[in-house]
Amino acid sequence: MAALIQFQDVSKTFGEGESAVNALRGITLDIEAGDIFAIIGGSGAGKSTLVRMINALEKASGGHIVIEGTDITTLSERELRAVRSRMGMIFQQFNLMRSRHVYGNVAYPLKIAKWPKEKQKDRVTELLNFVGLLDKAWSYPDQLSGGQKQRVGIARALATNPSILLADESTSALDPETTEDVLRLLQRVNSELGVTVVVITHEMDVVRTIANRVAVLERGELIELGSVYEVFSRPKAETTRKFVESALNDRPAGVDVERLRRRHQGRLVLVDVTNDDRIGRVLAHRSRVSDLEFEFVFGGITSLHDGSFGKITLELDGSPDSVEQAVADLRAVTVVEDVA
Amino acid sequence: MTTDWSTLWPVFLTSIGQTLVMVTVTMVVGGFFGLVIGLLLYTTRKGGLLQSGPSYTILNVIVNFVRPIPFIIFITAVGPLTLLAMGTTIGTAAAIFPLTLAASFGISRIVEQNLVTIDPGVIEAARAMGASPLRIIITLLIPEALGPLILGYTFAFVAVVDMTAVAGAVGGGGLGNFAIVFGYQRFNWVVTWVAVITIIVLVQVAQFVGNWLARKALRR
Repeated sequence: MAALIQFQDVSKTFGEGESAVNALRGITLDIEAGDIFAIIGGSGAGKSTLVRMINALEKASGGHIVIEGTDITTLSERELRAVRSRMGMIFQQFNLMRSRHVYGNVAYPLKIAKWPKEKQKDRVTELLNFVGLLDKAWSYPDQLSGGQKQRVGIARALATNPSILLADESTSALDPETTEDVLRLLQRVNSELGVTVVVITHEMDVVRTIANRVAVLERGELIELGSVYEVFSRPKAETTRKFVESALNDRPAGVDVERLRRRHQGRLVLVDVTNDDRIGRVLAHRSRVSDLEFEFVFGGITSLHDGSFGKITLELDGSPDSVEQAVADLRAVTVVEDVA
Repeated sequence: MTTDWSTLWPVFLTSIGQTLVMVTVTMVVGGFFGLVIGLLLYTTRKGGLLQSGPSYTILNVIVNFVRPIPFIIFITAVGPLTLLAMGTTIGTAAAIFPLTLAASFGISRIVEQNLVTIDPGVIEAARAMGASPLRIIITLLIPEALGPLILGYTFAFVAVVDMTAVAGAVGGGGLGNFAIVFGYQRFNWVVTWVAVITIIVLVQVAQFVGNWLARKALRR
């Protein structure tokens, strides 16, 4: 079966002639039904433009975007409105209407879709219950916290039972704890309601927490695409590696190395941890058969949708031979580098 | 010097009536067209819902052309148009036409400026829900900017009261005319000040009501 959302060699140019800016070039990717698909990139990478092309708030300059089998690049503005009403979107700044209370905000898309008043009421109640804000129905957005506002945004986005939810930096304006709540809610939207979620973010942590697939954008180009586990554990592009390291902070750098050296006299090696490694067993075996001693001195392991990975810095001590042999055995099961 | 109120009183009441008629008609008709032109200015500008460079430029030039003309000149200069529209160039009805015209363009700027303060993200959210431009204008732009719009219209009301004082130039009557003809020209300061105080009361009441409505709209 064809993917729910397909980008086929999509490009986007803003402006004309000399001042034209290529915001996106040659984007080809599939988003499957049921995915929580993350698009990550730095500022100006084109990720906001990319997500706005899914609901045609931005029109493609070239290529095709096929959603549920319909090529939306050929549709008229009127037809696009119908497409948009079948998708929900949430925003970094929530974008709630200040002149309407929570109920009015959530009911707004239902009014657009011409639902009868009675059904609107039932639906809004159901949605507010789902996001846990039933008691705030008659509050105005100014009276809510950031996290509550985003939950109203999610309720509003889900009102018309969309099959796709677009989340544009939906947690970037929230504190870590609230971010966690909102991400958990998005996960429920995906698992309980079966909504395909497309998340735009510059925070690797968001990708790590909820996504199963990820695309990395850099200066308008798709530089990496795959399952989150693939991309995280074996990043190919330099930018991706930096993103991964920024999120995990598992590779000692500069000041960390100096501190470790001061405290640890043995040989410091950095080992990759992935699902099928046997690092613990190798170390245990080497210290049983030789005078090897080891200590975990830095790093961390992260769990993802489909596996765990990370980096651990080890201090290896003992006779040169036994240290050398331990490193050789580790190399047989994983990637080992000396800490510079 | 004594003032003969027994003869002035009916004239005074008529003048109040004329001022109220001119202000009311101008605010209703000019307010409506001002809202429409203001919405068009806002939505046709770059990045707007109905973005259209030529439409915006034409509207913008017309508004800028009309607005700086002093009203005392404007009221006489549009005479031919007034004759066409109202069938006369003299009297209260003749004054209402230029008043409405000037108010429409003046109010359109106030409307435009208040709409600019709306967060573009909210408009984007409505577009993302599949709302049509017309629906966004009616159910989002106006409600979201209602508080500032009410204050803007209150400001416009006071300006229109000011403009009606000039209606005497085309025989439109009104309190301004009353103050000039029966006060200033007869060296009767009492009459002048009675007219002034009446206008002040009118303006104060309008400002009070406007502030009260705006506070309700802004929930403060």
